[in-house]
Amino acid sequence: MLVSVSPSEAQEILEYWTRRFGVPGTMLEGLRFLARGKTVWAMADLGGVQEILASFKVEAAGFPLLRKRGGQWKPTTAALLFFEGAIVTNVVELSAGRLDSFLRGQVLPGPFPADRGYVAVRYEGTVLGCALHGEAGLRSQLPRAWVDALLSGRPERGEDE
Amino acid sequence: MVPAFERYRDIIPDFSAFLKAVEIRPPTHIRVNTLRVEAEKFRQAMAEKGYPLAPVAEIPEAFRWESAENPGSTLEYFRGWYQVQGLTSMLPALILDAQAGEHLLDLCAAPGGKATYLAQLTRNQALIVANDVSHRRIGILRSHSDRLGITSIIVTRYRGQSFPMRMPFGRILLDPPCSAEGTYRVGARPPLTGDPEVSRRLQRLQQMLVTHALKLLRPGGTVVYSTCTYAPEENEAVLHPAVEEGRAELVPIATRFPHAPGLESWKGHRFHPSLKLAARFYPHLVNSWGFFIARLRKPE
Repeated sequence: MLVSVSPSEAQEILEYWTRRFGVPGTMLEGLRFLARGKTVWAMADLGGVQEILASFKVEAAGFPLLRKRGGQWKPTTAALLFFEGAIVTNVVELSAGRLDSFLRGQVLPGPFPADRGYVAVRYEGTVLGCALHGEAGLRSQLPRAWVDALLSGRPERGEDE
Repeated sequence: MVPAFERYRDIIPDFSAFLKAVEIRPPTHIRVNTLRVEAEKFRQAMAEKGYPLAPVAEIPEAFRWESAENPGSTLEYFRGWYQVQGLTSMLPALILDAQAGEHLLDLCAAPGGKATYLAQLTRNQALIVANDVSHRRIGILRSHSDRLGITSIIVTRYRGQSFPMRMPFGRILLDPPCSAEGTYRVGARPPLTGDPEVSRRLQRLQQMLVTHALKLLRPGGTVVYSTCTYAPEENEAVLHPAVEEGRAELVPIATRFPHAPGLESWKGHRFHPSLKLAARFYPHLVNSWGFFIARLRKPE
């Protein structure tokens, strides 16, 4: 069951985005945070959300914002794309020559001008998604299905009849 | 010729043009995600990258994909700047005419093209319950919704005909499973209507879904019923009982795309005369998938 996070958890989430990526709290205004297991979703805080959550068995709401991994937050690619232009810190710009290797899951050796941990990857000035910046280098955390669609050219049954 | 289409000779206007059209590969259309990027800015950016787009006069955010490359192969698609969607498949969401602040239900929502378009049209300001029974197809819906940055969709997984009646909705989109004849263009899978049992089974399901959708609807509310099939058994015949019994009334559809009216009779069966207010979209009139769309109102 999806439930609203507590006020202290909501504050923790806001602070994470500001501290890690420089996203101002105003960017998250109007969003309600919901959690189930290790995933936090961001949903538009519209009238009636609570009634729907209480009335139906909900599979998902809004988009996945964060996941807990080993005690730390992992931002989702969907969230990094959502906040896109507001992300100013812990961003790694990929060069054209390295994009393909990154997408194919190879670890890109550093150094990179970002803290260790989860970072946003940008290409041609626009955010692409999440990567893990570790000792060995930079490793893609982009959703596998999205990358497969990109590399194969076939949307995930995206053509809606 | 596809044998299943011969029976439509008397109801499809300019039938020979229709037969020619279904043997031509349809263009690919995309819908710019205006929650992310403004349509004209997007078109220019894509042109600079070598992906020419042709505008669709009737829908500012719709474009015809002119590149030889697959539209799923770009970083812009990955970033959620656009969705691949048949042109006529965009119409049900437009015809529903949803407004910010409303509660909407898309009863058979996956893979999500229409539900995400509703979210876009209402600028993420209408609460949309996107329901589907298929776990696999819901996965695709969620993937698209996440990629497009939709914040106003809540996903549920119920059988549409038994969706819980716990709150009324003001507008419902009902695009039930159908025989998908309208998606038959050259190279596509043959239509299912060759097997009458398939049609009968689909019709029973569609009628149950219509009946239930009307129960879930607030009095005075709107249901848009759409299919991508020409089969009257899955269109007018499905809606006829609800209209005849006064559970719903047809409302005229406002669209600038050329179409034929709904049928008032078929093979000896008479339908309620107001069913002519429904719209039949054919590929020789609009170069996309064949579609049937009806807008219904639940009496107060």
